[in-house]
Amino acid sequence: MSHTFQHSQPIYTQIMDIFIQRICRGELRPGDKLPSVRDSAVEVGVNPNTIQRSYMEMERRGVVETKRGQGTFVTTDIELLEHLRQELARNQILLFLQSMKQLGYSSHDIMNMINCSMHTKEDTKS
Amino acid sequence: MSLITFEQVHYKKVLHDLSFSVPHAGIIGLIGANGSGKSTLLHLIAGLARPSQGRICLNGQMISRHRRELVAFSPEHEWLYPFNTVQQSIRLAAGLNTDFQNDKAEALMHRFQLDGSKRVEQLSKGNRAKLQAILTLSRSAPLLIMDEPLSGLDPITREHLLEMMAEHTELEKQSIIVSTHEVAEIELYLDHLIFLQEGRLLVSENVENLRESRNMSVLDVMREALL
Repeated sequence: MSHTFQHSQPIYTQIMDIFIQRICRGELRPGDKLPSVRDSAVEVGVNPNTIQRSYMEMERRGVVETKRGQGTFVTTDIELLEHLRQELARNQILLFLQSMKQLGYSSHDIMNMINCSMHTKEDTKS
Repeated sequence: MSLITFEQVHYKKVLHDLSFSVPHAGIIGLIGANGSGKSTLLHLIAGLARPSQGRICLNGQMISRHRRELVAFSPEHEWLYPFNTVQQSIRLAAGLNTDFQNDKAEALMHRFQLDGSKRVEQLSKGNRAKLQAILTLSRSAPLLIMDEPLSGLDPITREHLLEMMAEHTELEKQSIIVSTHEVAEIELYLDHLIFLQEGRLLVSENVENLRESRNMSVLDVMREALL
């Protein structure tokens, strides 16, 4: 997971986003153990305290849980994870709609364009 | 309690009226141009020089001389004996420092593929820098100080050294101060930043706070401070 960070935002929130995306994609499954803080720090190329902070923040949100002496694990609360995934998706859609509105497209135009892009994408796939 | 406290510290004509404190912060970056007083500041913290005026406390105790059990100091110039082998260098460091962890040094030596039987003078510059870092990181003193550990090294070696610090400083009970002018490279590894300019303190702050409160990278903060 090599990453370029936006240096103007806290790194720990950006790392948290990366982990949450991996969980949503299913790369990290419910109940899976997260890499140790040190391993993650070396892998991502940041300070271990930063990783620690992002683990703590994810724990506060209930995405992961820390078991004393064993490590940090993805929650087995599938409902919570699904909820989180939908929330992230909704945010992305809102961001997208906002940019499109700024370009002056109506909802109708946007729907048409999405349909069109989806078709072309499927065509190139087959 | 703070790790380091400076109270109105002056040192000759090098440092002027420094007052700040650093919490037990993990990895601390000391940034500044050449001649800004970084090395002098580190010598003062290590108890290797005394302030002309003011007080410096380490872990709440005023420091008046160098104490090996409190500080592991790695100076800027190369300090290994060229005629010693890697193994002998490790043994010497173990003999000099009661807090030296032999097993850690051995493990790091293998991890970074240093040949124990090679003499220091036969090592590349990068490997000598790694050996110095290993000898420092194998100490269990609460404060490790490394003066310009990255200077003059290639990018890959610098990255290895930064990884080594992130992985092997015992951040639960140790802090490390690293001086450098390579800000962009070290930024992600830092907890706390101290920024000196011409012997005066411009910034001493937690790095994530800087990003959060000012929406700026460390580099931006430095640029702004210099304008």
